[in-house]
Amino acid sequence: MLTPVVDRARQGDREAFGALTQAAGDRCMAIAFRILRDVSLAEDAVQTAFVTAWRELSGLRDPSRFEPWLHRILVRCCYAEAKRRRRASASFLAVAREDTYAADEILTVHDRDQLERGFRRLRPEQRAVLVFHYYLGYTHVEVADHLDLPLGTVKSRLRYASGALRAALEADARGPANSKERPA
Amino acid sequence: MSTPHDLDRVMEAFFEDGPTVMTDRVLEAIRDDVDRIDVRADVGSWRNPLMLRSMFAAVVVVAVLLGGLAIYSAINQSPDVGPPTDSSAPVPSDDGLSALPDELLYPFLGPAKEIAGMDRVDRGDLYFEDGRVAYEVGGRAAFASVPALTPDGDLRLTTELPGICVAGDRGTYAWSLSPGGTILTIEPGTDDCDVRAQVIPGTYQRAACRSENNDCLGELESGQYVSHYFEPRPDGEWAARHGALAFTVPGGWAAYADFPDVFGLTPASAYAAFDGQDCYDCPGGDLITVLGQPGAATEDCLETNVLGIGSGAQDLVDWLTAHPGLVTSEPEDVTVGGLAATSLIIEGSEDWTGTCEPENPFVAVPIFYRQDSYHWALDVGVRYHITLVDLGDGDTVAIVVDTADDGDLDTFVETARPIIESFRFPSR
Repeated sequence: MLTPVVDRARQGDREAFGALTQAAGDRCMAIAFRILRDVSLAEDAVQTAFVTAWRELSGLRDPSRFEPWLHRILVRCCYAEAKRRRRASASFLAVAREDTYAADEILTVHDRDQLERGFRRLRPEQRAVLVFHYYLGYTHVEVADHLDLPLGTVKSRLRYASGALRAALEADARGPANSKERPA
Repeated sequence: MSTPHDLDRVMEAFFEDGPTVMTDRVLEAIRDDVDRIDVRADVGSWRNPLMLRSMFAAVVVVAVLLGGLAIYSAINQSPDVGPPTDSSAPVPSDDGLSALPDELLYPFLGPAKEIAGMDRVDRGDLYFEDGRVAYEVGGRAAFASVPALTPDGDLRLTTELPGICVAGDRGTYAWSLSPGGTILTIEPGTDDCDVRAQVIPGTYQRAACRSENNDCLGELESGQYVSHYFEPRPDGEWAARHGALAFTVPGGWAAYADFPDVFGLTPASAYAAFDGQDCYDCPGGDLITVLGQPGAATEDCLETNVLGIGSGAQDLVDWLTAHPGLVTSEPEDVTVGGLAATSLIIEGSEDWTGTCEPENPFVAVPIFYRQDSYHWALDVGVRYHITLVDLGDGDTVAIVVDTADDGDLDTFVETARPIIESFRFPSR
């Protein structure tokens, strides 16, 4: 368990914090990329999250709650990175590189393209609930806990986001997807 | 194509792709940062609000520093930027230069200006951040410079990264802000870089949006402004069109949203209470909201449009007045920006029993739905004042006036009327 390590890190032990970073970093990177869909932005978000965590760790009351606490920081950092990306590029142009996708029976390359476009049209807050629910496998209650949201908000965001992605997939049958994007 | 009932499996498959490992490069960058930052040991500081504020300030500092890196990455146009590192802003070498005043530390949004070599020119924005300034056109940065004030108070831009200009090029421009800081005017100046000298001068609007996810203008002074992102006449792939909506406000107003499909105004007193969340979902308030391309929403509230109802203003008026869930006033022909329009008040009927949100159902009358965008519904007993404006070529906007307290609607409509009458929707 990480709790003793968290306790040491709370006392200012850099080695302990380094161990925490190694233990939690991979999952944070996976989460950040799936929210932001961009490796360099995800790396920036992860770096900022851990630096923020280091600064704020003394304020964590319950060391056993380190992971959800870190995830909340990470998600906030992802929101900030997403905003900067919107400033830098107002339209999220989906880049469907077919050669990077592993072939599978569940999702065709075209589906991925449609999903990618639909996903990028979602607000980061909506993406985050999808990632925590579908990628991490958390229940609605667990998503609410990790994102510090009311359960009703998690449900409504999931419902909206799921509906939007379904619409993106169904758009295949109606023709080219609506390419209008939300800007910064 | 995957069918909707496959969504769980589809999403799991979708998320399988992508990195699952934090690289050593990022780990090293974090370690370097942590080595430079001393923190206090745990002394229960979460109880101390002053400490919380200092922590917040530290977070902001880190965020601002990384914001500078984001500008670099935009400049380099590389999908794989170097390691994120904590860097300090370069300091201009000239003696006598000073830092920019706080009033300039906002994004300032301007119209498109053609620049040779820039292929997506749909706006020209100045972003002052972290001791740098970037001029962005269509999401690409140009003229990344170190800004400073000369002893005379002029704006000095020193090119930081070579590109259109040569590193070290200097430009000096007189500038002024309107009394409330919402309008920045940069005068023609002298510049080693001819292209920058042609592009930078002009008038810009301050974006002081409280929402994390938007560059809306926020609080306004009295005067005329334009939208930057809102597009009431969509035509293929969305691109920003500075000035697609022009409007005039008296003092005491704020722009709370500027998205491609939604633009919003609200009294500044109400805007001050907004919590910074995306005001697409603002739960209430006295609002003037402009919806682009509204479509008739189905009565089942399932985020679909009614088949067979046209998108024209008159089509929507006819549909609203016949809606079983609405009580409507007599439609009134009006003019908005020289365009034919129709105004009416709609109210959710007390007899309506349809609901939205199956998991947490509440009675509401769906009104407008636009795919991948907004879905508006009206509570029973609540009224909206709606003006449907025919922009021609099948394009329509709905201007919705609503209030937090329904009893205030009639008064607020009168307050909003001159602003709505000032709206202009210039063609492309």
